[in-house]
Amino acid sequence: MTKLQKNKIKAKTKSPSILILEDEKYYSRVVKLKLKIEGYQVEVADNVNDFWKLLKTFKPDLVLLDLLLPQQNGFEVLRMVKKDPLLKKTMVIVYSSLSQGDDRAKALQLGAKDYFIKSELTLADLVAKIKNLI
Amino acid sequence: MTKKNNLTARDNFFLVAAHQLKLPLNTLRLNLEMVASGDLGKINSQIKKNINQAIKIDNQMLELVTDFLNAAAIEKQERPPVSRLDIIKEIKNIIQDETILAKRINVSLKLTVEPASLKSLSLPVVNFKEVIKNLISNAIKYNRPRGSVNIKIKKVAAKVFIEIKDTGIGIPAKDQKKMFNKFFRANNALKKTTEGTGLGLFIAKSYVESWGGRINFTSRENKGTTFYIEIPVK
Repeated sequence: MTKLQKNKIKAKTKSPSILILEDEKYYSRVVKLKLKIEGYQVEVADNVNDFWKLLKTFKPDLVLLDLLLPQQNGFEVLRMVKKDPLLKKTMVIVYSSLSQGDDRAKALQLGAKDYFIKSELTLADLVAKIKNLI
Repeated sequence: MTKKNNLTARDNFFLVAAHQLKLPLNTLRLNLEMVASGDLGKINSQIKKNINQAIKIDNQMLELVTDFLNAAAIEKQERPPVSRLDIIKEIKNIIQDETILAKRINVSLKLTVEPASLKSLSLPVVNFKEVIKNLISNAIKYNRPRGSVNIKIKKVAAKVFIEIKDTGIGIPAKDQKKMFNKFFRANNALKKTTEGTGLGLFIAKSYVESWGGRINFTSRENKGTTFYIEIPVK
């Protein structure tokens, strides 16, 4: 039995869940695959509308939130999650493809648990960040 | 062609192209990492070696694109926001990241901080990390096997001094005046490696001067180079 198969079985019992809001499908695909292999339940929303629906139905333990979204700024999404009494306890990791000076501070100030720049992180680093939280 | 913030339409085209390249290069790297880690099934050592080589090349391309984007941001006179940062912690993190490269070519890295109670500085964190990473990485890349890189931090009056000293190939006297020019690479550096944009030191000087600081170096060919950065404490 492969690690992926073993973890699929584990995922059916109870393993932490992660929702990714990312419009770049090749990025979300590889991250989703890695996280599933690590034993997490993972869903991807490629737009803000689907994201809100999945937040309420999938009820993730953690959200990976891209800052650069076509319809809405990621900070705005984070602000709304943290304002909602039912969602505010959901942990959020914010990330971006641009290294802009105060993004990290702003994300943490708005309630994100962590922040990273896409090109600076390996998949192993990402898993380590997630394991720190859930 | 109209100029906007010193950038021509052609510059803007390259800027957009660089941005667009960054994402696929990164996703390509992540896919390669999955194969190399064995997550998708066992691979033999030769495949692993080749995949790791491809990851290295992909990382080099990402670094090049980042350099282009940083140089363009300087031309646009963008002022990144400033925050309080613990420079010793940041430098220690960079040294940690560069250890892999240093070990590979058998170069030792040493950090000396005097005094230990150095205060934090108000600087743009991303730019500060870029400058230090660039100088330490150059000090390793252009070093000799069993060479060393010594990094010293000290505070005198209202200034912080950062010194990065290597035992590498040095900079030929005739090239020293041009080292901070955009796209310039010294002859002996070109011979050692064809990698590099010649933008790193241009970016470093632009950033340090935008903080009200100074950057300079002394160097002797085949003996080594020492870079000195001076930053006012604000």
